[in-house]
Amino acid sequence: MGEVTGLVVEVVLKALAGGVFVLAFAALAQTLTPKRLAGVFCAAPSVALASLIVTAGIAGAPGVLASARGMQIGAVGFTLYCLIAVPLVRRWGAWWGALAALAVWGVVAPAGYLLAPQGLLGVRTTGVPAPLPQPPSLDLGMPSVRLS
Amino acid sequence: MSARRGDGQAPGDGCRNEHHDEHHDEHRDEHSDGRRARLRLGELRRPPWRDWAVRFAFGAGVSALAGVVSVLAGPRAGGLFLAFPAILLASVTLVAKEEGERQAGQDVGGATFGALGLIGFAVVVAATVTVWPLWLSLTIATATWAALSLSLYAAVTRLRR
Repeated sequence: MGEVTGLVVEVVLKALAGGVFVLAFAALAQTLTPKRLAGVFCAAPSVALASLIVTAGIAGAPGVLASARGMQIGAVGFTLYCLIAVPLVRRWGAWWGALAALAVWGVVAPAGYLLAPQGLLGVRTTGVPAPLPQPPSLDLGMPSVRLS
Repeated sequence: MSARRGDGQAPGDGCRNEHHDEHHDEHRDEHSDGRRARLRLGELRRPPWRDWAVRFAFGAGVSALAGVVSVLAGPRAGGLFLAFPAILLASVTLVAKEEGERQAGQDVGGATFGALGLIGFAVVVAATVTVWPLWLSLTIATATWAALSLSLYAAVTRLRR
């Protein structure tokens, strides 16, 4: 029961933090002109910042690393979504165009999730320790001696 | 999530004229020096509270969705939803309702640069979070997002002139 409560608290914390960060970036976008520049902030890392901070507090760096790997795939889907949504919004209107383009994200994100287990470009970022320095080999140019 | 016009004003002829003038000024801005970036703090008072509430709700909703998926299927699956375009969807529909379809299309066009920046954000976090302190990793990642997005925006805007 305590574990379930902890998970619910985690989700609620992420939701509240996400809402606050989205409002902060929306306020920044609100003050900007022209519209195209303000649109850049529609894809700000607001939800990501909020969620990763809460994740770090609960699961630590490994949880953040795994989330960031998933986010790489989601962001590729987001980019393709925008490229498809521009003509669709012009043709079908804002609501239907933007909604229909979600299908692109819906295909790209799961496909990338299955095909790229290490994240984008297979970037391996876990803290793999460097090999210990080896003593220099004592190769003195002596001929090898067979003992048998 | 772009600037709104005419919200929160009392109805009346005088206000309508002022409203018309503002639209006229905006129209002039868009066609004369509309591509010059400006920061106008007064714009914060324009959207109705409902718009801010909608944005908060979408942000909270997507974050909660990412959290639930993370709990059920693991943090990598939840991470997919850290770059889910729900906020853009909310913004585009609000902009279309208040400023027209054309402005909504511009919002989506601008978001393309932000989405490319999000890829850089995620790559930087993944590459640094196990090596650097969290605050430094997130700060550099956010700076990377801003630099990538805004430089791409500036380059494309310059090419179109």
